[in-house]
Amino acid sequence: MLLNKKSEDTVVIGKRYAVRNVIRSDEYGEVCKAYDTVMLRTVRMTRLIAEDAPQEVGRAYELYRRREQFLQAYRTLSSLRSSSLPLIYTIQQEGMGAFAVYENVCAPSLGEMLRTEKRVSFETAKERLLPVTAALKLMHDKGVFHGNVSKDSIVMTNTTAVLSDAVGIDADAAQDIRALLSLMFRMMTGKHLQTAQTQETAVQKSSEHDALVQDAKETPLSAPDKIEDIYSHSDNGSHTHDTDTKQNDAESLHSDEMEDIYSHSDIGSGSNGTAQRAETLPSSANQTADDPTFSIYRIGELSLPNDLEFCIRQAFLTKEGLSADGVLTHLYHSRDFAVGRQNEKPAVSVPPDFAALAEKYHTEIRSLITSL
Amino acid sequence: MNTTDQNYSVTEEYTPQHRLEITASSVIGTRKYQQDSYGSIETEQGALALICDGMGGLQGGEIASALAVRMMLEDYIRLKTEDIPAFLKRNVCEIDRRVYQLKDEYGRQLGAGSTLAAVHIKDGLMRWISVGDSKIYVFRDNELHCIVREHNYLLMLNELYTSGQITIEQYRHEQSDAEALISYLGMGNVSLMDTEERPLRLLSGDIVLICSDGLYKTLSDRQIEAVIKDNSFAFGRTADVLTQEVMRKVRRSQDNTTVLLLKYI
Repeated sequence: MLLNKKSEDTVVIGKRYAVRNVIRSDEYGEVCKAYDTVMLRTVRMTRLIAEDAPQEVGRAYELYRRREQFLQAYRTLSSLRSSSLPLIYTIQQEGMGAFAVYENVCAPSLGEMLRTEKRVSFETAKERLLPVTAALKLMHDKGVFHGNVSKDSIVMTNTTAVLSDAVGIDADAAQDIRALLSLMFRMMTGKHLQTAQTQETAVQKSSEHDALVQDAKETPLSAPDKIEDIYSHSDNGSHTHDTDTKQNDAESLHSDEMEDIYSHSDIGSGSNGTAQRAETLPSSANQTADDPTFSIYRIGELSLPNDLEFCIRQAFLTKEGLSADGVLTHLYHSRDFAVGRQNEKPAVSVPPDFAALAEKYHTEIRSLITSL
Repeated sequence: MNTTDQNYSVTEEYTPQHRLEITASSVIGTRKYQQDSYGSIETEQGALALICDGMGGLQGGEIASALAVRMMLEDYIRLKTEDIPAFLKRNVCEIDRRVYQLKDEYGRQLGAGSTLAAVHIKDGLMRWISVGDSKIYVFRDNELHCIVREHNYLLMLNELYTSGQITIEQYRHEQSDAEALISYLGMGNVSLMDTEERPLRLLSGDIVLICSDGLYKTLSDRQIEAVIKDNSFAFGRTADVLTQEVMRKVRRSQDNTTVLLLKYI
């Protein structure tokens, strides 16, 4: 491979990593591809960028706290052994900031695969996302959250799926679970499930939908129709109207209204509505319309295992808050997700022959590591 | 403790307690047999760590290297003397004889051999011995320093050429056999070994790296340095990362590779 000549504009980090291109940047820093001029390979790097001389004490502490959080997250990640997580090469401080260098996994992303596949079966979706689920479980167990689980951050190698992107600082377990289950839904339906977070992004990006937003706010909600509306949108953001035009635009819904859709308080708003919901519910739902945990969430025409449906409800529909860890734990132990546990290295023990010899010669062996 | 008190005086002398962190990793590469063996042991006599790279047909090399490591560790457990350099030299000669005498199931000489690179550390003082082409490095101030030589034909050629006993044409002609070992355990009369009567005083933060030739023939010294520096936040994984980097660079053929690191803290 010919090395490109370093131009004057090339940014070199740590006197070693020549930045090739910035993949993503946000308020904290950036994720980029770089070339390691010592190990002679392309790597990915997450940089936490901070001003070197903060003027305020409060700001300085904030930067310090953020940097320590970053370092701790990556150190923890580096201790995890999973073929679905990129190998962390190094973690270094950079003034008030820091950077982490990790493996650049060369493989097509899940997003690229999904462009040619409209829908896959539940079994296929589960099989593809299982390694990522296991990796997330490992991370969450150690208090590290990804924050950017998406079809573009998951790459599909010949043997497994890899979470190729960096971990976030202010991410949480709920965010990861929501993203994972949204992705699964997308794979099975070919449609994009709008959550409160993704909806906010869509609204910010699309100014021409402001009128629709206002209109949707004023239109009384009809729960079953609303559910259908959410699922009627294709992934590329275009709107296909299956039922009422105004109510089909889930992207323009205010986040509060999204919660209302999922709210249990909508249940029993009318006897007609109740009867209608009872007809359209999946057969796996055992709850009655008056049950406070009863969900008005209908997952299209999919026939999902009870466990997964329960998990989706827990992840998206619990008004009190997301018990994301519970969801992941449920997935983890579910018969449909046979996730293996990370094997801990066994404690070092002294082979009996060495132990006997040491005892005979009154020698205390404090440690012994051997290939014998 | 009030550091601003001018009358403050130290009533007890503070002696920092140093300790060793040890990590090791070994990969088979693309070979059929794993002929590298390694071991490290810590007793009240200090810490002893060694790597042996076996050679010989079929599993002869594996037997030779395993025998060398076992003998060294067992004799160290029996050790009561403080004379470590004498112990190391005596043991190397004894192991050499035992490996030379190894026989197969038909009673024929096995013809196997092994390298040996061993270090002993006690109270911050390091002694070492090396036979063959396994290496011992000291990583200090972000730089790697090799403290032993490769006992191969190239070493002899360089000495002959430097002393004027051969011409440059003869030197170039003989270079094809440069990697053949001229000293190893199993010769029966090993005499060339790298050792030092004066110990090396280790500083806090020093890392000692013992490795078989699979490592330094695949990664440059600069790359080995970079990996050690990169993993300063988690020393325990350094050995694994080094062997992983070796395996990443595998093209067609990769020798067994073993690394053993000791960090003096």
